[in-house]
Amino acid sequence: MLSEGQGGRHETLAWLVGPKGLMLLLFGCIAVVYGATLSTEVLGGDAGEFATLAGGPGVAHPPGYPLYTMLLRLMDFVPIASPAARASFLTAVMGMGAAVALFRAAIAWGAEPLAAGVAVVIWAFAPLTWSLSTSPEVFVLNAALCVCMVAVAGPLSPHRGTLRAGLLGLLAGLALSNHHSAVLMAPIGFYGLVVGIRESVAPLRALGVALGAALAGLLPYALLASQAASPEALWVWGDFTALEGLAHHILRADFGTLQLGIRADKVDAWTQVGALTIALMEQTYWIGFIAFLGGTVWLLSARNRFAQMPPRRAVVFLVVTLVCVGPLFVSRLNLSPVGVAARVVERFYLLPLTIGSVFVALGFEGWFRRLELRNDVQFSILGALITLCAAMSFQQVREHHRPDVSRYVENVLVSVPARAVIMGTEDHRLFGFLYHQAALGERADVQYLDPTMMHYDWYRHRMAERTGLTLPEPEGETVSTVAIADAVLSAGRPLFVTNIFSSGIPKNFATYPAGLLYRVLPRGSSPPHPLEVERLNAELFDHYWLPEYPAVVGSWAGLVAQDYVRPWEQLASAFSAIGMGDRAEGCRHRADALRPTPAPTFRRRLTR
Amino acid sequence: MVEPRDERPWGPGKIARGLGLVALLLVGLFAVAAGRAAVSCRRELHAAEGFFAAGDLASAVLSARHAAEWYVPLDSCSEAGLSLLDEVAAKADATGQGDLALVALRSARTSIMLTRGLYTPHAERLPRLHAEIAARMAAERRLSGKAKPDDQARYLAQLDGYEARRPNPWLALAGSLGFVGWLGAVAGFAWFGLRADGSFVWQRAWGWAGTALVLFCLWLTLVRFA
Repeated sequence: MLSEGQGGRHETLAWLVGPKGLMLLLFGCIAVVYGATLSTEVLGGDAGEFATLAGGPGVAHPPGYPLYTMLLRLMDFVPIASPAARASFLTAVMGMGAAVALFRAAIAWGAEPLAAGVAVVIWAFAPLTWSLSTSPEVFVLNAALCVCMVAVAGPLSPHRGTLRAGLLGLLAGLALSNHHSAVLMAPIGFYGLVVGIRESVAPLRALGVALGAALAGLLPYALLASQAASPEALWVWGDFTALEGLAHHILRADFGTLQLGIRADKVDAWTQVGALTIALMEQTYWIGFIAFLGGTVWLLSARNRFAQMPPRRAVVFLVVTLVCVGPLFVSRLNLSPVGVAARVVERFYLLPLTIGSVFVALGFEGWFRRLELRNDVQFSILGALITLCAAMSFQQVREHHRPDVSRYVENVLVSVPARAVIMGTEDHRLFGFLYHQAALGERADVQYLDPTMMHYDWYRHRMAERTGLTLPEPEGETVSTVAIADAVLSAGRPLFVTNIFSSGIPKNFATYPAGLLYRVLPRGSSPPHPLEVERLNAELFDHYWLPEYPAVVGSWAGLVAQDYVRPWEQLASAFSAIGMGDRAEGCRHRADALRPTPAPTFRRRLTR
Repeated sequence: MVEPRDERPWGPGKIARGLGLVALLLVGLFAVAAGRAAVSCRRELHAAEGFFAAGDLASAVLSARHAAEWYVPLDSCSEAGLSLLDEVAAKADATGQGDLALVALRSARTSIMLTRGLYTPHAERLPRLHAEIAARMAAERRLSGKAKPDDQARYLAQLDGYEARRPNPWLALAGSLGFVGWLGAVAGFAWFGLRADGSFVWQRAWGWAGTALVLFCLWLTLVRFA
């Protein structure tokens, strides 16, 4: 017989290893791990733009992601580190919300807490989810809202009738206010809506409530015009002076509405689907993928269906949804999943990974159902799985969160002379400089200008206003970088380019590597002797932050690392050409020390 | 077909418990993030002090700047990073490295700008930093032979202007809370304004719909002027 104290301890222990303790362990661990690994710097891609919008009002690139950017504005009152850290904090909250929603969705589709918990662990600690949940990106909020729809549409969802229809409408509207890919959730959304309407005593009213709720969910788009008109806006992509501009932005007309980006690679659909499949296997440590396949086959084919098993018809709708958000959508992407573009594309894998995790839970349910596991065993399984998954993914998350892009921008901004104009391309530079200059107020005297953005009238006019220069209009598809360079140099401003993005500059002007940039000299000038260029670069590199260990090829940090390698490689060539072999060898050594390393394992196959 | 249920899946008690759990998780997440900031700040500061003692001023600037960026309320570590940047600037001046001193001062300013939220931590340092940076930038222009008489005033206006152009964080916060309130009111409308059979509880429905409309307008208006 237990004494009073022993009985109390026993009860506490029983509660701890019970279903509630299981959830506490699960979501507590996710909170601790996400909180401890928040990215606090500008990373590549769009992260810099969203980090900027955590520092003040503005409008992000099309379609504007008004729900996410509105929530970013809430982060002003979180007194921690930088706007980038605050944006990551918000995203981590969304990541935790998505984990809770996935748990509820798995339960609503017939899984028990242990199987749902295992699926949540595999999902939450997958390198992709973890990285996107702890850096400023919109994809986790999208996954959270979409998996909420799956939870509400689930056969065992506690929400019935009009409430189910209304909630699905509201979630659909909010999801579309965040990311357009939510439209691919239509099959399961409509299924849930029809079920809700049929459950309701007043079907027409239920439909009306759903439509009204969907419209309410779309209202955040009204924010775009309001933010664009703010005199304190830090960054506004697009022209909102007319209503037409708002429609243009919402429909992503700048990118070609149904295309992923401006760049249009010719990619075979099967290559995209293959890359998605490999990524999903890798992300779920294979075991999740096997459970996913097992769960799907079991749900569709099982003859002896247990009481909580979802009806086959419902499963078919969920499978169709998964096909839409996964292979079907991915096969339409116009960016090749190779090199750093793979980092852009793989963000779109998060939604299929999330929806597929419901099947992962049901696959594990099929196995666990045969075993009658005690509570303490269930608790131990989950604890061990969390530790294992976190340990396996940590290195990839660390690599993703490398501060190299942010440090690159800092290095450039501290080294350029007053009133310099920097011409550059690529998102990580555009948004990196935007964050440091607009959100942090660094080097207001320096102007960063992206020639590829000069196709947009609003950007060209804004740059002309800021620089006080007459900038050339685009001629058809091309923008004359030579004319821009002439305008800058004739105004007496020092000109730099981040990379050689057009042959016009080196053909018409003398250039030489100046640290992470090229210095462009006025027409008729000669570049300095290589020895002088070497001295200048050595001095600059002495003041630069340099990576502690080499970046990986195919990552944003790997892309940035090329800029550190470039001056030394060019100096080596220049010294070789004039017969200074020793100097050339020294420069080659410096280049090699900074060179990114090949990606490990599977990823190498994708980035080759 | 599943029979509609009259009762709500979540009663007020369960909603309150759910909100409490969310608040607890948010506080937990913030506590972990704040703890990490405090630890990272000390690590960077320790490294910066080591570099400073060894005379490697360029590395000291980078580490001290990163220490200053890890601001958490009630933790003095970030301020120690700013003070170290001042010391580095002074030592750089004394050793004839004016350009490095400028980098140190700019780093201190950036660290302060970076940590702004509802209030600006260490804002009292900004006027002196702005004045020194503007003076040094004007001197740099003089050395290049392209100076204009109003250079220093222009640079100072640029630096000060940034702070003056700052959005009003309190209005932004009020507007943002209007947004969250709007979302809550829409959910409240669905939860309390509707019966399970789809019919309206008119009095409650009007109340929640009106609240949602007011909060929506408040959100748009405040964020516009924030």
